Amino acid sequence: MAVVNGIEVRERKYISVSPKLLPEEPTLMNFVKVMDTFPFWRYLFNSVVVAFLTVFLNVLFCSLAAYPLARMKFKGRNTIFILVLTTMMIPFQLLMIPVYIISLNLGLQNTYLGMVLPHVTTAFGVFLMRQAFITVPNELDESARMDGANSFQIWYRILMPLVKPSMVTLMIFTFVSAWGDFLWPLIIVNDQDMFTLPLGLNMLQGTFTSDWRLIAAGAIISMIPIIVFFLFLQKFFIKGAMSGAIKG
Amino acid sequence: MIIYLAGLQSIPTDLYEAADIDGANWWQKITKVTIPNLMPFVLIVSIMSSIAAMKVFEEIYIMTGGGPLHSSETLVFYIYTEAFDRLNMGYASAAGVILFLLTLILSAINIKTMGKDNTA
Repeated sequence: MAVVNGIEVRERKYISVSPKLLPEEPTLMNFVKVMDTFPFWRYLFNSVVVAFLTVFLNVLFCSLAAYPLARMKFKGRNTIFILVLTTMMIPFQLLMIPVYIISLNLGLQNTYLGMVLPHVTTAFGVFLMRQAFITVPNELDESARMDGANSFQIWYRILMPLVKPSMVTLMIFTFVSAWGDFLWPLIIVNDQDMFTLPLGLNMLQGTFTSDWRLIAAGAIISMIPIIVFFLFLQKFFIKGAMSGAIKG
Repeated sequence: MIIYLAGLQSIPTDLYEAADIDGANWWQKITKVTIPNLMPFVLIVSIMSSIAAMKVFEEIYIMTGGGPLHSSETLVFYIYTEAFDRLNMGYASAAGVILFLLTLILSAINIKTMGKDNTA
């Protein structure tokens, strides 16, 4: 439907009367036009910055938090882990008001940081990374310790390379959710120069008239990065990264 | 979808073999074996969908704006308008807590059914 509308030449009088399977006069002009209609590249840049920052910080913090929960022995470790998991049940819609007020007081309105920080650690990510770390045999840690590596070195030289599949899963999840996020940027951003793509697409919709062909074209363009990102990370999904690490 | 797939895969093939031996046709197999064994998964999926439905926001914000006369408002959209249009932060937070309690109750039911061992 979106594709059909995106490559249609003439605006239809009544869009809902008979949805067509095939466009009457296919064209690619709408994709060009949508770039001129609103600051498309600017929004794309904003989206890319926000999404990549979110992904990077998410992987960093989630794995750093998961490492002690999976590997180190200390009092109350399981309690902390269960508490972290419990936060998964709290919907972000409940948190957004206090988070918004805090962001206001920190002066994070209309900044990339303000868009990124609330999503920078997720309980899901910590859980995922912890499960991944647990599957790595303890002997690897021990042998690294014997060779004189400290905890941090074990984390980034031994564990992180071995949990690549889980890391990529987390990256894809985070990227898709950050890319498509509408609610939080809507709240924290009111300056049009800082809009991300979903907000920009929403702006294309006028009060009385909406050029659906442009909106459909813009929506299709904004889907492309997700697909590209996914395909790019697919090759890291190779299982069997563990084989050869331990004999026997 | 994925949950249903997992559910279908969790049904032991012995049951189907037993049904074959007893001379059941494909319709009987579906109604007497597949659907009863799938019921717990149906419950889980419906609960998760209910939780997701309470959190619908973007579609409503873009399409109807809650109108006509608040008839298409969800809880999240209501929280948003209270907090960021009318700036009643405290009131909206209270509504948020109610949303949380509702999802908590549903999640509790969900966990209870997940915890049950449903092997026939």
